Amino acid sequence: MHAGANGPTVGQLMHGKAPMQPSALEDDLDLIRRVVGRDRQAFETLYHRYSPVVYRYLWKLIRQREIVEEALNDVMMVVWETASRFNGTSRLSTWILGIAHNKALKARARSARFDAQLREGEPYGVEPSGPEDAWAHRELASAVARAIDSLPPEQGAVVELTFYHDLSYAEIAKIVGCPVNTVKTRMLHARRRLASLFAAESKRS
Amino acid sequence: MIRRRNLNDLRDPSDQSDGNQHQKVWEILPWYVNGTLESHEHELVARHILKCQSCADEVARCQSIATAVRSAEEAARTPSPEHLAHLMERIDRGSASAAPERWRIRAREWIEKIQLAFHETPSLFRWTLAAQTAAIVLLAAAIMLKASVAPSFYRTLSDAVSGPEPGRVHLQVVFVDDITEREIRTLLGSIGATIVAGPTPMAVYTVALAAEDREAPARTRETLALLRAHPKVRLAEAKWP
Repeated sequence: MHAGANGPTVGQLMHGKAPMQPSALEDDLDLIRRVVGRDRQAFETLYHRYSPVVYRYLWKLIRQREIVEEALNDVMMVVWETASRFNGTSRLSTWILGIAHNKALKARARSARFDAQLREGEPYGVEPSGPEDAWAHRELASAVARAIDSLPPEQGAVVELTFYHDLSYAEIAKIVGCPVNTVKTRMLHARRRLASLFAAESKRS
Repeated sequence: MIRRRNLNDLRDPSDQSDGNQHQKVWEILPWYVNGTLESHEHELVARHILKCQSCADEVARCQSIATAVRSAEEAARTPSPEHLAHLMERIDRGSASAAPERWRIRAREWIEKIQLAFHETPSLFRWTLAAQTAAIVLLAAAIMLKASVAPSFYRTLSDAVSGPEPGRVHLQVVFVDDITEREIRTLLGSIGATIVAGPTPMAVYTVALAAEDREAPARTRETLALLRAHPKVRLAEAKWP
């Protein structure tokens, strides 16, 4: 993952940007074959390799620890149960994140309180609301991160998959189950919303 | 440093001469930043941003977004240590009853799909749909209930009609349409039979022969032959219990 302590991101693994074992991608195929053969140790290895990435993605879309853990449980259960359906036409990470995306949407739908709690508990927003000095000392990165959190989930997912998981727009389209042009459009909307933040920062500086 | 300009007009800056190329580049800048563009797209962007300041600025903004995303506190979030143990327990339970578990997973997935679609449907349309579905379910239930209690109006010739008399042989007879009531009485009287049921909507009469059990098979064959030979009888069959 990007944070360093947790290892390379999926994108880094896929695009060779981060230190990784040379055979990592081949390992994925070998791993999933062993999972198909009901190899519990292989499944645990797969869990350790992908659960941080999947957890992070679920967290971005759900933001309730218990529900996120339940959704992660469901995702990994689906991987265990349906490993034989992985046909190798996409990367293993793309397949798993696609499962995670669907589970996250379903978890959000189940959690009727989600949106209200999010609005009440976390005062996200792109516009400065406090005194000028209070706004001034905030780091831009922190403000951007908060603004990203305020994006609609379908836009937030595309931003997350692009900038955290370093996935191509074609892979993102597979994961979220929409056409490539829709991915680009969602990203454009997200960038437009974030632009106001940059504008505010530009005026301040 | 980010220039001051109208940032709400990000998609179509007015200072671009090659609008199509600019638009194409503008859309894929985030993936230029994350390094996942195909080589021809990567080269296109790299050449374009040398001559397009707004795209170059947008690359800087995308890099800021990437930095913010990667440095967010969520990077440190991981599943709880006991999560894997719970998952493996669940897998063990699933292995003990793999088929039912898979069936439940599929059933739950279908239910979740329906719920998701329901939640994503606009409110007015959603409740209209729900009302229609409820009406259809009620109608189907009413039809099934009626079907289960209503008498059947369709019978084959071998169906029981009503109250066959024990110890007597029963026949089912269909007469021609223009037979008179008198002709029926005469014919049945000649074979010693009486009407015990009918006519059904299919014009089937059930008649009982006045024969002793021990004589029944021979008497039945004889009577059936007589009836089938009669010009006013369209069909005659023995009705076996």
